[in-house]
Amino acid sequence: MTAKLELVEVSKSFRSKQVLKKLSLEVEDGEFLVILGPSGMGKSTLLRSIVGIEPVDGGKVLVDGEDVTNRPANKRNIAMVFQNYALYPTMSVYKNIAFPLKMAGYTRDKIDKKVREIAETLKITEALSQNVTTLSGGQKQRVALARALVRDPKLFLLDEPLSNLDARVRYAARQELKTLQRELGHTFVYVTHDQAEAQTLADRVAVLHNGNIEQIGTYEDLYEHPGTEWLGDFLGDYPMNFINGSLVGKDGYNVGFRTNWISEGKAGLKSEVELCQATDVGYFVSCTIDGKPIVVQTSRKYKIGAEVKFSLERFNLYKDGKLEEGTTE
Amino acid sequence: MPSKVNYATYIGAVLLAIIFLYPLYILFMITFVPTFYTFGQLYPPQLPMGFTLSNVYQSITQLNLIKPVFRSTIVAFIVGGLSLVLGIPAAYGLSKLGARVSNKIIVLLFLINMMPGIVVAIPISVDFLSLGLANIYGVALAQELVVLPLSVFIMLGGFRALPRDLENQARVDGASLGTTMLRVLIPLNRAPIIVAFLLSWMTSWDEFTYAVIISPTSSTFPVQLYNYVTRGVPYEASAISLIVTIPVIIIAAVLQKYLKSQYLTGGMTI
Repeated sequence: MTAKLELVEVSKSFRSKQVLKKLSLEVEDGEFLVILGPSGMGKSTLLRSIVGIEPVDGGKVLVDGEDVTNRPANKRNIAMVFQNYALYPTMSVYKNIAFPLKMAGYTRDKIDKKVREIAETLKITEALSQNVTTLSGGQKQRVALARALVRDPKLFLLDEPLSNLDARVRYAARQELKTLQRELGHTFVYVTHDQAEAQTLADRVAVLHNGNIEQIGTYEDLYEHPGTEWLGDFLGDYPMNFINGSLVGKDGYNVGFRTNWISEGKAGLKSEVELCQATDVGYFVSCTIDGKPIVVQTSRKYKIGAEVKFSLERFNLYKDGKLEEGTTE
Repeated sequence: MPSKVNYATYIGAVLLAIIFLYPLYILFMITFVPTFYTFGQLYPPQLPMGFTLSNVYQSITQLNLIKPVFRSTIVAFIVGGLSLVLGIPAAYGLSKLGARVSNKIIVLLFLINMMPGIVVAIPISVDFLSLGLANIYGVALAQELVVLPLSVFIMLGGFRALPRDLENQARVDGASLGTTMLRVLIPLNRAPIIVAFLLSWMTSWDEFTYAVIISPTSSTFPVQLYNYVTRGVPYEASAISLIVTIPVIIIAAVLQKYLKSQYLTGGMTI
């Protein structure tokens, strides 16, 4: 079972702090949507509102066109994986996975069959009889995932499920998760602050900012054509560079460009190198142009204090912080 | 010198143990040593000079204490059970409130224990008489007043310490509030719940003031024992009181396993 999720002008406040401001969002059937945003921007609150453990102050939550806004969490048939996995410490792995099935009133035989099936898929069959407190971080994450997947919910919500894992395990888990979702074809809503996760996992990325969706689209789209200066600054390993348009003959605009949208050595913009950082893909040179910090990618190493010259191959034009016009390659 | 410090600590511990265990020792003497060496002497010897079971035999055959012990057991289980039935939802509810509010409510709960028991017991007994509760059930209800605040306080500490997401997870997994309570929260919180039950049970077991005022006839064991002592059969009464101490000793031994200081702080950090 999969479903479409729709949020209509959802609002939520804690005391005087408004966390979600009339947020609207549509998630397509079978889509992997990643909600990306800085910490403390209400990502978790959004998920909790969808699943029903955090009542919303206003707006509607629709699952397959059905209004579930006032339905308690246990009647929504939405599965969720919490950041700390929230495994029941008093139960074995088997009982943890069986719990949602038991609640749904399945027979013992059917529960057993389903639990073993999902354990097989997630390679945790040997751990079934173990106590959850003895598991490693990666295993815990799998058990939490198994518990969410074992029943047939309409939606899967995942709240930074990989953030508690070691870097290497995380990398593998990310790939597995994507494969799993593609095979199962379920609708996933995945919350993270990790851009690399958004990049690898998402069909579409929705960036949350100031209690609303800043922009939604594929990661590439958002990266190439961020709709606002804030998003350009937020997205990417390096923030988008912004300079005054008058420097390149675009009066009245702010010109935004990524570190590699330049051609090096040509006359145009020049500055003094403040820092040159070596990486796998080349050198990143930090400098200042017109009082603004700029980072550009170069093919050769520069000495600190040397002059770096470059011209822009492509750029986006912003007015009042919003994208007006973008050039493509 | 660490060894000297240890030495002194041990002496202190042993002295304390002697002081606390001495009454129990006397109880043993009165029960198992012939009366001649205990009640029969102006300065009774402190070591057992003989052994007899006749005191125990006499107290069982001559005193009618079986029924009071039975009644005490019923009352203790009612008090222990009620303190969970009322205390668990109360503690859960309080754990949901902010600490600032719930701590004030806890203080209000303890208010009744700040007054002398007898001051509370007399008006209660008047009302209970007209309500037909001047019996052991009335005693159980009145004793609940004493044990409930502490039970709630202990279990509140447990509930506060639980990660909120476990409860959320259970709800997301399809459990109703009741099922979440029974299958997730109570099993997780079993240590404070056991402590609360046993403390309530023990408090009720030897509670005297409410018992004697509310149900003076057909009463619990402590009241009956008191009656026998004042009527002049102290040594038989002592003998049987040792028997009744045994469950308390067992409970104390069980409690010791669970009794960690954090349960008594109500989840507050000091």
